[in-house]
Amino acid sequence: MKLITHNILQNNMKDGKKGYPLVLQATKIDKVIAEFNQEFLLRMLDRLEYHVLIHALEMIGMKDFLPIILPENCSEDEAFMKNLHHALLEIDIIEGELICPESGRKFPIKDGIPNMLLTDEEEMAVDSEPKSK
Amino acid sequence: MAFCKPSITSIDIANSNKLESEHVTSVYDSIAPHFSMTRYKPWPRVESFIQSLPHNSLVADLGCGNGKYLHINSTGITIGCDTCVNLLTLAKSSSPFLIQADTTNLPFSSNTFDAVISIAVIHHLSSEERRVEALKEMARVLIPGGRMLVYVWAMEQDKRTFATQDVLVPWRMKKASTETTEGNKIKKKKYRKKKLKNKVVKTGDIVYEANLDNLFGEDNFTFEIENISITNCKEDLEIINELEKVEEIENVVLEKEQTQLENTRDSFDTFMRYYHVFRENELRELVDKFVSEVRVIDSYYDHENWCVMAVKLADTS
Repeated sequence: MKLITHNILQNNMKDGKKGYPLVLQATKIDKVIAEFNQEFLLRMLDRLEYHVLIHALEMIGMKDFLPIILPENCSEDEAFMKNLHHALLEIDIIEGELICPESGRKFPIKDGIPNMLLTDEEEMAVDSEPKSK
Repeated sequence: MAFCKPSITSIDIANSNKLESEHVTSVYDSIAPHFSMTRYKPWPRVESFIQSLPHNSLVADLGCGNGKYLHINSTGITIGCDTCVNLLTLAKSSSPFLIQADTTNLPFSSNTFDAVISIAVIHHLSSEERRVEALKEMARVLIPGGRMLVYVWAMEQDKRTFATQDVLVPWRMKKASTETTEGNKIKKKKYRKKKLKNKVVKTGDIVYEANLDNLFGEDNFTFEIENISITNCKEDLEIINELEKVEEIENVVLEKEQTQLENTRDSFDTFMRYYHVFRENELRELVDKFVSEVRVIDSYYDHENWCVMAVKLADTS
């Protein structure tokens, strides 16, 4: 699971509440190489939560990797963009857990794939409730 | 001798979750590699939908299966979701962005994706409420202006006839245990003897049609003997061999060589997949009626599916 994925994952709860951002605990992390695409990154920055990315990096022990506040005119900062690329797309969480900050519900990450399935009972509680951002 | 129109009777949808768990998720978990081998070619209109998206799009493939659409989005990223972990494992060669999730409860922030596709997925949901929930979830996670493309199996098909809209459709897979005699390729025939209520039945030369009304009673299967040859049936068009679902009381009893039999038959495992097949306009009407966040921009028939493309409106909150 890449951190771009973590950035958009949430636990839908009853009453339209959401568990976001999910706490990330990683026990196995890989680094992979992905093709750099600045236009994609800039397009995603509009809809990603930058502070959530910073927090996710902290949770996996990569503090100070990116500035805490998104720099202005970041598109002109090549070093920043490369680091952003690395953070979002090249860090791969292979084993670990995602934990809902509201309910404490744990979602395992196995073999790089988070399992976000709810049990039947949990699903019934969420059913037909609006899921707000 | 054998005709092979699927004869499928109605089922009472008493328990959606149990039905989907037994007749969708666990089936796909069992047949994943075989299913994957038969599902490698993207459908052209789905492919061109993805290619028509803005560059650098974030796309979700909801029910991605083995991931045949995940590599098409060349400048952006496609996140693949499926409930079936065995299919996701096969999809790993196509994408590093995979999530095990249910299409009726997407674990994503709202207003996130440029596009979502749901190709041959929500016909596996066993109530209208769940199908609507899935459509609403697709709309929710789209950005305003984002597009969704949904394919569902059509009731109106040339090769298949459905007695009702809620059906169990067999997936047949050659048994791993089928042995081939070296040289002349004549196959051994295996006999299995099973006790079912008071009946003793054999597999191998007869296919049985299950009475689907009794599918959920644990030991309550009844069978009508149809006397249809397996070898004359093609792919998933045949009637059902439900025997593998029945608890075996007596296992393999004898194995005979049938070398003089030219007309030998293979042995198959059959898995029953639940479908709600859609009538013409049904999918479009669900979107129009229940999913106010989007507007349908196209509706068509393709590869025996009814298809709807819709765009998320700008002024929804």
